Amino acid sequence: MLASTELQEGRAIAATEAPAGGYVGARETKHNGDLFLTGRAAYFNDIVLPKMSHAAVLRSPHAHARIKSIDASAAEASAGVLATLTGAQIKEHTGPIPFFIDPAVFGGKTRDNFPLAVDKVLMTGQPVAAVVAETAADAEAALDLIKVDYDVLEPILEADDALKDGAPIINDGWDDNVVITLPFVEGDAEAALAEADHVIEDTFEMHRLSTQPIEPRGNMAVWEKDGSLTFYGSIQNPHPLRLHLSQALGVSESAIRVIAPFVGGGLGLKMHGHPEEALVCVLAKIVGRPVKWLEDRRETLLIGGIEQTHRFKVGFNNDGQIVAIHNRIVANVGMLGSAPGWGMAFLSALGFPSGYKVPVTDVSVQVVSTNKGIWNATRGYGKQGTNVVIERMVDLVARHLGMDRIEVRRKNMIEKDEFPYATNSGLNIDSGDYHAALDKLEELLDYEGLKREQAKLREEGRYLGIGITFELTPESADIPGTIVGGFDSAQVKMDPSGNVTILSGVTTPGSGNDTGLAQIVADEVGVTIDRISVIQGDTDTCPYGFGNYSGRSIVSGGNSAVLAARDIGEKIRGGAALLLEAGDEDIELIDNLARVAGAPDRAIPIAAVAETIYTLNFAIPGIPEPPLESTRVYKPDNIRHTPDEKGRIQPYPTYSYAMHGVVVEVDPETGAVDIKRIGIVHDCGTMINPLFIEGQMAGAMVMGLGNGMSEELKYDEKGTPLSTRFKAYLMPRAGDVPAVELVHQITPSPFTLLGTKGAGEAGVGGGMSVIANAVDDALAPLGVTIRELPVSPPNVLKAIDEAGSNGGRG
Amino acid sequence: MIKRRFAYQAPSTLDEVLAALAEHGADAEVVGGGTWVVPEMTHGARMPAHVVDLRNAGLAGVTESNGGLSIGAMTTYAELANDSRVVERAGSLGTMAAGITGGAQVRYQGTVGGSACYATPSSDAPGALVGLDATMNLRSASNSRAVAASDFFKGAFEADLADGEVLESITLPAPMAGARFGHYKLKLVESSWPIATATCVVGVDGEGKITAARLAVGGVNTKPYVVDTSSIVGGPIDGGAAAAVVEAARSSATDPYSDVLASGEYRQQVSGVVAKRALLAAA
Repeated sequence: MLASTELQEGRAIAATEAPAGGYVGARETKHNGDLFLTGRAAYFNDIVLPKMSHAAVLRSPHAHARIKSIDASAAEASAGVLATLTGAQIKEHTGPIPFFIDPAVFGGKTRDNFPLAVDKVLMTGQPVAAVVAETAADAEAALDLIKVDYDVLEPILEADDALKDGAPIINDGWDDNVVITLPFVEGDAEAALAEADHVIEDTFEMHRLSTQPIEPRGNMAVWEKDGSLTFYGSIQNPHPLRLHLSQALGVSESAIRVIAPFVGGGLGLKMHGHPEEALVCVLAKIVGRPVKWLEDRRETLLIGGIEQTHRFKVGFNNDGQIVAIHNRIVANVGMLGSAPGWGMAFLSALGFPSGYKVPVTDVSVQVVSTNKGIWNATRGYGKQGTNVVIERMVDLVARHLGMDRIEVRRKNMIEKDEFPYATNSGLNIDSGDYHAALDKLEELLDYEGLKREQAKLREEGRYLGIGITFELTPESADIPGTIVGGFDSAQVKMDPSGNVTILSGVTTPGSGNDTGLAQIVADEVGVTIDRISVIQGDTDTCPYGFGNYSGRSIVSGGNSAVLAARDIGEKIRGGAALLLEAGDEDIELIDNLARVAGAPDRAIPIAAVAETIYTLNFAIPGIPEPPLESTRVYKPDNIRHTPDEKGRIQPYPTYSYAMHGVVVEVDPETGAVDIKRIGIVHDCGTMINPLFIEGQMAGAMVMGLGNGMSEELKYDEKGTPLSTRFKAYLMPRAGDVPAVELVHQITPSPFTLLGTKGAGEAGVGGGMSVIANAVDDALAPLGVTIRELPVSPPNVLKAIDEAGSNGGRG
Repeated sequence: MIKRRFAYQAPSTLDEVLAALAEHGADAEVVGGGTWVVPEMTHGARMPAHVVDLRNAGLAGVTESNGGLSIGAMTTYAELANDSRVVERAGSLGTMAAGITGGAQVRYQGTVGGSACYATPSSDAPGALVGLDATMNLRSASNSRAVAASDFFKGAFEADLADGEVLESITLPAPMAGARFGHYKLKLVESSWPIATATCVVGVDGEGKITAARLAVGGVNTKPYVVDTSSIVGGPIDGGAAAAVVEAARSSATDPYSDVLASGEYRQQVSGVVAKRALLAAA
């Protein structure tokens, strides 16, 4: 039977002593998991305020159009309606939505995005008007009564069309449709390709994806009587959003409180810059009541990402050494929104040549705006673009030379004694042992045995495929001049009863970094985890931080918690030493006790020390000063913002990596891909909690496999989205994937306090690249080369047909 | 969210259902299990003023009928999959019902009758019913009629069902002597609609020779079609028969359905494959 207070506080339960060896590294279950299991964790839509009203958003049915007029009078008179707002009125209430990452910072083009389109719409689904009503249904119903007169323009949907000479320019004031072109050049690629023994020229296309957390977005604003604004949202970055709301609305940052309750998945989608954030604030001001907006799944599916085409040449020698890569990437970011999505294209180019020692690289990405939907971040943040294409290149090289793909990888991968390793694009990879990971994967899969099985099945006309890929995940970025921050903060407080509260600048999207923080602090201050509470996602209570993205929560948030907890531990040790008449250095803190090392009977409860510090501070000379509170920031090493001689910066402290192996069987008659096995060797440095890392990796891998096999945001020729629900945007289900077989390898980062590296994103790119390579390998006997994702049955059948085979369909 | 307010009723007899439908005509929507209509209402694709729910009208259940079966319009997939008479006399329908994904809610809520009435090309029921040569028994306040399944499905999302009319039951004929059943469904992944389905009933004599065969393909054309199986009668269910069925199925895939998941071309390409696999499943 659980004590009710424990349940109510959502704390870990029944912990009486720390695991042997401490909490860090232990497979602790979620410290507040009971709240989630019993349905009492409060998510955004569980928050109900007195006099709350509801907003609905009218969205453009056209991909490209000028708005001639909007008449909302009938909606205004509709049942339950409190107010309407149109794009013509929006500028009276708010400035443009600040960019999360403004392309102008890097010399690119920018635009003013208002919550409602002012005069022109650039995508189907762009908000043009809003209604506030007593109920969400009333608000939705009133939308049908708003009349918008559009002058419909020809949409430009494909990046290549947008780049054509004389193509209409969709953004007023721009001179073409290119947001920015970012080159990453090292050496003379043309010369190196001319000298290489072999050159393969090919293309790879990654279709438009989305990222779909189970909880969609939602925002609510309430203007308090004192004129301050409280904003509730299912969001990833409370403090940065506060800044941007302040800038848009012209309200002091100190008069805004942003609260993110428990979040049901972020995945990048909930990084802000979306129209509906400032919009609910404006609407709440107009109606003088709280206004809530909850996203519909059709709205979530308007937001895309990843869509990019690579046209590349790879030069290599007879021994398998890759000597040069030339790659021109074109990314279709749709309408340029203020959310950080477009920046993923930047990373797709920056990441080349991944963990391979390719001496000469000439990679550039052209970021193109079209009339498709905006991008937002999708977990992996563009690294999947690099990963898929470089891993395709390696397999193409292997196939061309008749070498084993594992040998080609061994030949080209960075050696373990070469770290830290500076890449061609200026990255500085901290540490790793890629060859050992490859060895482990070979053993895990029984690679030689698989190859024999493959040969045997091929004789029977069956198409087994083995995909092998390496995945590098630069993590915990800091991008200068933006609110992508690499440091973070933590406050650790111990109260007089010896309980500990952690207030963190990082947030959890539901993944478990909160439990990780509790584990870290438990070890440092010597209390059991049931005595620890974690508070995140409230700008009024938590220290300044950047929230959740880029695998940063433990690297920056966790390590700052270490520092703050050590401050508290030091005071407890000081107090205990005084009370136990021992030296500070002799006191060890464990299992809620401060005890003299080697003398187990000389111990005092940590709670007693805390109470003494708070209540007898004047009485006991020399006892440490209250309060038992410390706020600390952790800035990881290895980030370098001073440009080198080539103008390159180094934005990442850590580089996690993984080696993936997937076995598939392809049905050549239907193109269906059956995944038989998934093997992964993963290294994210020191692990705080292997259980969570395994969960993250399995989730990321399945997400990547879905991205690679079945998920695609499709449009018709008018730019109307066709993938409007989960029966059309096909995410994997349990029956689509076997269990993930995961092996850990640990090479601690030399650049972070605990040796941790980012975790949580690795697997997405890996899933996409490994499924591409596995299907390619399966169908190699038919002469198939995979040149696009997803490898959906229709696309696979098309590839078989293009190779001149009909797969035995008769 | 369903944005339009509507009046809801769940009459306790079929006559009351028919009276309500006669009164409201095109303004009424009939809800069986609701797994199709309710999401359509949520998406704003259907905004009826009146919803007539069949749940209390006593239309569920399987009964024996002239050696075949009568399946009430409200019979759920779960009931079909778990009924031994369905397995014996209409095994392909049982296989189809057992293969419905989407979780227990869909299997215990969704009905084969409801699925049929909305004539979605990429759904399981139409092809399976045509394959079994089912008869659709329809009622309205003023009329009752029986329509062969192959005539009932008129096109994509188009059934021979008038305003005011409701499906009461589905009759399946007694199976042929020595009947064996086969059903095959092709989806892109677990979460996808069916892309192509095939259902066959094959009578096989004591020597393993085919005495009669009926095979229908669903999802490929805008409506299910019956494949010409005359050439396989007299022979065994073997590779030769399979090849003949592939050819026959493909040659009839002349009006392919296309949607966001798969082009008509793809459906044509796999039409023979699903037909073959259904036949071989009956072997």
